[in-house]
Amino acid sequence: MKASKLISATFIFTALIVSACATPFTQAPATQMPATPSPTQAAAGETSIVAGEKVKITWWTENPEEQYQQPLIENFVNGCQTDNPNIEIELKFTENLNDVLRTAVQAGSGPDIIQTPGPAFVAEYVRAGLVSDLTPYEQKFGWRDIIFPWALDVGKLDGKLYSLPLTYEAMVMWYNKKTLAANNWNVPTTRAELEKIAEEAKAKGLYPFVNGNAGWKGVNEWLVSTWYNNYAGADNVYRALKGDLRWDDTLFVEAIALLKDYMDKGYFRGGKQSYFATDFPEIEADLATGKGVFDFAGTWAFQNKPVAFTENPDDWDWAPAPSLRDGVRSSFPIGIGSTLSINAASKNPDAAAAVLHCVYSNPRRAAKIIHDFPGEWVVPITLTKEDFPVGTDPRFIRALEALAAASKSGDYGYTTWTFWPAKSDQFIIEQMDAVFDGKMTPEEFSRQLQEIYAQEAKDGKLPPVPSR
Amino acid sequence: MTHTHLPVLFKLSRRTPSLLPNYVILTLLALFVAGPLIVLLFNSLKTTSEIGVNPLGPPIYIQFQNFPDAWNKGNYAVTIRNSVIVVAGTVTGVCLIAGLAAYALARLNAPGFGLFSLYLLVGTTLPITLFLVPLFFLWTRLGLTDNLFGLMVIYWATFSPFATFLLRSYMVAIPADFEDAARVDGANDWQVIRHVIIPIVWPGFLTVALVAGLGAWNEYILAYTFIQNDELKTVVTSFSAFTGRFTRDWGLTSAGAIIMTLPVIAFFLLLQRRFIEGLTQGGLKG
Amino acid sequence: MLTSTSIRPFPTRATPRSSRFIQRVIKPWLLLLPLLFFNVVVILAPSLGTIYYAFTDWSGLGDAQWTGLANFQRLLGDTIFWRAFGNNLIWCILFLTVPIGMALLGASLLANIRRGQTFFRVLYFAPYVIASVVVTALWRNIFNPSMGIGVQLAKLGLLWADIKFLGDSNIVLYSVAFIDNWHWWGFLLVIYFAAMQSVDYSLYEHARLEGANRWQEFIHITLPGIRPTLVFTLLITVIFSFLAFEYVWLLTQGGPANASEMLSTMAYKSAFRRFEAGYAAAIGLTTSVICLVFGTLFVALRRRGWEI
Repeated sequence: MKASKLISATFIFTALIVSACATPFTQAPATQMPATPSPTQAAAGETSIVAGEKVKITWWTENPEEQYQQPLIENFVNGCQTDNPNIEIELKFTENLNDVLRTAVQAGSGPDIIQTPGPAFVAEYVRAGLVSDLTPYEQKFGWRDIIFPWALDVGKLDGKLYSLPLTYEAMVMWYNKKTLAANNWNVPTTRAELEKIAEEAKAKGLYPFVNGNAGWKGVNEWLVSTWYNNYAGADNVYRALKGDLRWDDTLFVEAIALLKDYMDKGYFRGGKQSYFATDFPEIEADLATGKGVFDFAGTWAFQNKPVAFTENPDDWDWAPAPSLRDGVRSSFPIGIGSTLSINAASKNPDAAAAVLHCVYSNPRRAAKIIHDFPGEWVVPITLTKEDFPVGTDPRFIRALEALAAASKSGDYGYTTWTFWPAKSDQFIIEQMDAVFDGKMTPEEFSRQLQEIYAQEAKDGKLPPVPSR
Repeated sequence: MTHTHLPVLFKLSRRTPSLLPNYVILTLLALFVAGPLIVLLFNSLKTTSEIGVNPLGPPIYIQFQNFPDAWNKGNYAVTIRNSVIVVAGTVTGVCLIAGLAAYALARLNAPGFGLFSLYLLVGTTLPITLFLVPLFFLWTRLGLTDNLFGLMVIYWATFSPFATFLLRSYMVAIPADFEDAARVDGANDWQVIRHVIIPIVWPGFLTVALVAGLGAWNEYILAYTFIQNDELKTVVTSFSAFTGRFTRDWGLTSAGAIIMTLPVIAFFLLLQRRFIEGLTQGGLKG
Repeated sequence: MLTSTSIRPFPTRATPRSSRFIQRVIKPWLLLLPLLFFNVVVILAPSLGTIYYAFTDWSGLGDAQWTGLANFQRLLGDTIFWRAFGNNLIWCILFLTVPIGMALLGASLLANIRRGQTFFRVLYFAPYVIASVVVTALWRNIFNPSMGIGVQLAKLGLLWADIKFLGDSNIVLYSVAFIDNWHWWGFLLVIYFAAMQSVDYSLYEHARLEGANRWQEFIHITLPGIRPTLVFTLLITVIFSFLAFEYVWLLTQGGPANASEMLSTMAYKSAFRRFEAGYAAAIGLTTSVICLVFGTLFVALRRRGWEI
């Protein structure tokens, strides 16, 4: 009697606990989205891909701050529906997009358009046969003439195109003009200048670098990308990506050791514990209020700098991160922030391709979206100053021009989340924590990275790297 | 169980001497619990700029604007409605499914029941990551994604084993004479359940309802995964509207937290005495 | 099996054989059918598929390749796995002591008072009803490294208090456990409190006549009186410790530097970040087996007549 009660109570509670514990993942930013407005609008006489009945194309995208959702609907959804009167677009802002989308697509459903956080993710979808070959559409829509070739090529696997770049970005260094001016500092371009400012800032009780990774472990790879490219040099990173140089080469070991050294010196918010514990809201606030000096982040931050600097909107600016070794030119580590593919299970791939084309077909629309929703839908196409709406922040246009110029000249660096294969990338994100924490030496880190990278190379999992 | 299961009343105060130490320690424990809750309440009454300079203390200027703002931003009117539907459906379904099963397990000993119990134990230690994807696959085929009923069914399955065993332990405790007497009087199964079993174990049902309802209200991995339609989202997703990646309005967040927690607290306050009674009387004593 | 020996036999009556079969077998199972049906559809059937993947190399998308025990061999050599397992053990020890101790203390003190009893009881239970997303957001605010309690105390002169609760890899696991415990212990308290209501009051009177102090009363009367409940909560604590996920994931995702890594967070990251769903399934299965071992051990002890 007692036994059975006890046992049953066990079961009960296990059930309770499983249901209670098996809950949750990240707290991605979330907001409710207003219902999609009625798509019916006067046809503008553009070519329509699908004749006859109205086709519905679904697209799940990241869930941005509330104020950015309506502009996306107005500019993109309505604009594209005008171009394609037979298509109705359902753009859904999705919580925890990556995991939810994966679950759905893996289960054979999900939206027509698959958005991923980078080429490495696409590669997994491709190997599973879950996304369609876009090569025929590439010719049909002439994407090669519109989209920057390097950005288009990143979407290729075994010579076929599987994804398009929704946004491109580069790692830069953000700063507060007033903080620099108040301390008589110039924007540093060399390691010596950077370290001098860092030491002085530290002495004054400021954080030399405001970065922290509590909100996003990926901050580790932002830093590694910058340090690799600006210490070892973009040319050497390219050689290593191509397998002509090893990741445990002294150059890369030294780059990691330098980063670790800065952490130990307390340049990052006073030290590793603060770095590990600090989330983005504090990071942004510290730069805006002058409590910290530099912020190593990507061009996506154009979205949040104006918010953080509401009180002093003229004070923020950006520059390329300084060169970290004599003889190495500073470069923009460039990357793809998110990609677009067509679900192999889509019933209307042609219409989905037409929707994809809308992202690139109209420079003014693209520029308007960039203006309204800065940072996350920066499509890699040629945009001129005239394309941007009046009042677009000149600092932003300057950045886009610099990025476009680097894109065209081929003189750019490489971000880990675009040009490294998935497991190597995850290794960098996770194990840089261990390096910072003193649990792993830069040598050990580099050795293990080389091992994983070599294995992935052997398995044919390297993403395409355009020739330099 | 050797002792009676009827509640024994009026024996709470066991000793007259020196209750002061009790109150001192209980108050310390209460402060530990209440401190963070008070911070939450304080912050819900502050502006963002005040929280910047005064993150933990009492508000200097009390303002209630965060509450209507949070209500609108979180779209609570919609999500609370959905959650109430899900909770009601979950509670009803779980009580029904578990009630039937518990009766069978407690009163009708059929071959294979031991094995069945073992199965439930095994089944409940499987982490959710293990069955999420196949379940989604199935639910898509059945048209149960983006569907409050579909979510309810998942909750039925995940909460019912707990409920079953809880209710079973209440039912096992009912003296067999009660049931036999009714049967001698010619009562059928249904009448036995209705007139003998349910009146005795209803505090157990209440406990089950509370735990399952709480689970359905607060659960979010399944709610995120299976509901994409904004019109069908549950109250937990409202809360995520406040936790933006790059900016965080703690005043609004706190108000949002309170809005989503208040109904549950109120509900518990209403039921707490019965809940304790239920626990005392039945089940959880092993 | 497990329960059959202890079930009160159903009163037998003289009925024809077939009808008795219906009564004894068909009807009981019919009553179980809804439970069985939903469980199989939602949990068992989907899980079986995934258990298969524990023995494969599977990215989580597309085809899986049978690799036998390779995932488990890899697990044994994976330092992060052992780290996570160790953390689960620490978690287990923490939760077997701190919340249970607090709950026992609180419940026994509460059982003795009348004034304010309801107030305390409701207050202690309140954190349990709050959603994990809210609890973790609240504590992230309190533990905030720039403006949280550590910084505020440091401003008051207590410089040692400026602790990065969620950033220091030496204490992060304890910080997360502390937060989880804040919401958990009140639930245990209410359970113990309820159990204590059933302890025979005359035992206390006898003890007092014999001059027992409070501690002796607690040890010799209260604890034995609630032993089944206590042992039961110990068991669920053990199982819960190996499944713990939610609070760790919401607060640290296992970081920094794997300092708060759990089997569950490791499995989640393998499945959704590293495209190693087969490996993740192996971790999940291992976790289940660990839980099952503890559960069976408990059952076995109980059947051997241990008075627990």
